Amino acid sequence: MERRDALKNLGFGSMALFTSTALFGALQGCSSTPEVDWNPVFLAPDEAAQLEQICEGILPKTDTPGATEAGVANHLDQALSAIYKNREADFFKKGMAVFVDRFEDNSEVSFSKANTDQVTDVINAYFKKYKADESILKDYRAAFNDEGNKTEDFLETYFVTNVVDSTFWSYFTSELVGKEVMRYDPIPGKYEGCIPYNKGDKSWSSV
Amino acid sequence: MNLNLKTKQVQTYDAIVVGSGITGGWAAKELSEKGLKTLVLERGKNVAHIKDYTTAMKDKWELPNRGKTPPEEIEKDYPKQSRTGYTINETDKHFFVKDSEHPYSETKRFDWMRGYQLGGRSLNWGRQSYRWSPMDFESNAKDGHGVDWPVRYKEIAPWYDYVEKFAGISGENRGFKMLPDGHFLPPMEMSCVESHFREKVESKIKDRFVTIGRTAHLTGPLPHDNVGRRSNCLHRNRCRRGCPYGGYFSSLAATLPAAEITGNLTIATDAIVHHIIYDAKTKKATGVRVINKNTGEHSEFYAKVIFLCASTVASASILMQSQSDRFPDGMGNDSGELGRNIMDHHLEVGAYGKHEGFLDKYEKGRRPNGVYIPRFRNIDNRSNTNDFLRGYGYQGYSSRDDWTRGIAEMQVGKAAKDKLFYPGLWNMGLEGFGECLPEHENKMTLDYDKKDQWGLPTINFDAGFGDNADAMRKDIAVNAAEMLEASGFKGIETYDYGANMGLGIHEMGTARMGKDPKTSVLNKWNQLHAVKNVFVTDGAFMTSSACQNPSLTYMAFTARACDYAFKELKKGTL
Repeated sequence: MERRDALKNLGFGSMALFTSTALFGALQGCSSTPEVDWNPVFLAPDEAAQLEQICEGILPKTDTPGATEAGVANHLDQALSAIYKNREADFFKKGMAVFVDRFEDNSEVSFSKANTDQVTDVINAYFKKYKADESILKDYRAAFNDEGNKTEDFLETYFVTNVVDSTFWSYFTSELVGKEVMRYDPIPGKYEGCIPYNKGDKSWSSV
Repeated sequence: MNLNLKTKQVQTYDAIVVGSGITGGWAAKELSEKGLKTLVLERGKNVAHIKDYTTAMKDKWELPNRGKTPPEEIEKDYPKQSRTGYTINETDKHFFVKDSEHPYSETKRFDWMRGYQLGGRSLNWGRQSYRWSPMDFESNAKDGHGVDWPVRYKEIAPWYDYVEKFAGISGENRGFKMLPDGHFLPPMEMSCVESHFREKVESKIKDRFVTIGRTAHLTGPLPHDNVGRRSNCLHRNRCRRGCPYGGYFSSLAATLPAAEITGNLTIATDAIVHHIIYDAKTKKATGVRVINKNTGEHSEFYAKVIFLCASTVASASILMQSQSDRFPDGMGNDSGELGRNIMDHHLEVGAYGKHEGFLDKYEKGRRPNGVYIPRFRNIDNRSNTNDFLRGYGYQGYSSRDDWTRGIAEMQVGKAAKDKLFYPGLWNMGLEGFGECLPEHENKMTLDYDKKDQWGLPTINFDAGFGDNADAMRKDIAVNAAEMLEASGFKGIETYDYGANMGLGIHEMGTARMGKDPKTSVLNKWNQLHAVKNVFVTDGAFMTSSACQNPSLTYMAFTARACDYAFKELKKGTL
């Protein structure tokens, strides 16, 4: 079972972002309360604000918490700080700059003026493009292990795919979502294989 | 000679057991319950049951990195141990060795997964427990690969009964001829989709069966004194971290506590056994040489009988290092078969798909078990194929898609997020476990040019799966897809990630048993042909691999060998 789970291909390629060291959490504690003024340890303050805006666009607040409330950008910043020597930390940072820079090519507004919905739309537009033209992700994967400087296109694709991947992971494994939003069942006792599912019942949390 | 007689006395026992994993635990229990003063020597660290399961109660967000190990740390310490893809997490990496501290080399890739600690790999094993069938003990004789087993099912069946009753195996009796019934605790439930799958497969495909996995978890009261005070499985599926409830069978939860209450058990950890001392006059072993892992100090321990339960590879390695005038190529290696015929099960091949029905059904609890499809190939005229020899079984598992589906769907935003709080479609996957032929060419050797930090030779592997496995894998993928299709799954995809030896973590065969000392290392009692008071009862003794998970068979042979050794000791023949 575990063997099979390992075979599931989650995400787009890199796992490095979420495989950092014990540093995060230890550095300043992973805040899960809404704090726009958390202290970034890897990103510059303006980059941290940009990341928070992007994460919220990926998983916005509805009647359930958004990425900001779940502390996603804060968590990602600390994960990045712990792998700062890894070239993927650099890809992420530079890729975000490309994404922000090119934002207006994909939207009516510049990144700094964009609201949450507009950020959502731009990321979905990227995905639409990736689905329509499979060569984009194929070329990106092919270039992944190449040495030397990466093109802006590569960095952009790296960022878009990885920021989504890691935002989902960070959000759904956060204490806020795991304990308060999803159904939390740390010690089930017994296994019941076939119980009724009523519309509206949330999934069991990823403990 | 200035022999310190007092020390010798202190360091003398009736029996020495090398290793404390699944078979070492059993040997310790059986021998000490028979009244033998028994010393267990474990090369790894001490682990205290419950107290040292430090991650057992932690949720993802309570782990420093939500469960994942940093890539730099994996690269440095676990480049080989991480090849499974599912171990070396923050939750359980402390129960696997660091490759950086315990190196080995590979002429051909070999995934050697090790757990050096009290309890060995009984702490992090897969817990699937199946009997072999009469057919499995006859397969070598039938097709001429390897040598014939000196044991038949009839002889080992009572020992399966014996170990199942003590260990506690959950499962259901179905009367399959290729997978004998056993003494089972109540079966775990199937999910709705698995029940549906079983019904369709069994009604539509002749001689094809699906049963709930047989697993070493308590689902009801044990028929004996529960010395380890084990509780029923609580379905948390955090087994590899160590179970504070003793829900699954391990040496720490079950056999060592039983051995301990006899008052006959002594355990030494951090004790690396590297040599068995041979006395040419009596033609027997007199004891073992040990290096203290931490201090490097050398010592010797003595006993009337020695049980090697150090694991398939490590037990062979100890015998190979035990050279003497009588045994220049390693103790008991008159046949030249020591370290050869390494087998494993090949896996990472199968199929998966999704079912559009049963959306009004769900499950509760995290069942640490799946379903099992016993072997159906080459068991009778109807099922014979010319494409390959032997056969395979499947392990299967279903669940409803969780939030991770959102990543694959490539959609973000409010609507995309909100639907991920709810379960998606049912998915089901089947993974084959294929039998491996015993091949003389598949071997491990000692490399005296590359020593480890204790000055002991390291191991080199030169072994792999052959054409038979390749042909079998095609059949595994095709039949997995067919069964899913027969039960209405959609979007079925087959997969084959390649057969890597060792990855099944079912390595076996390095000191096979046989009838003829010229072609085998052990006799039918797990006894070295040439040194009667040395027994090898871990996976090294296996003469063929079958396709079932092997630990239950190791347990049965270990208990049987202990019984035999005790009787022979009483007779004075050892």
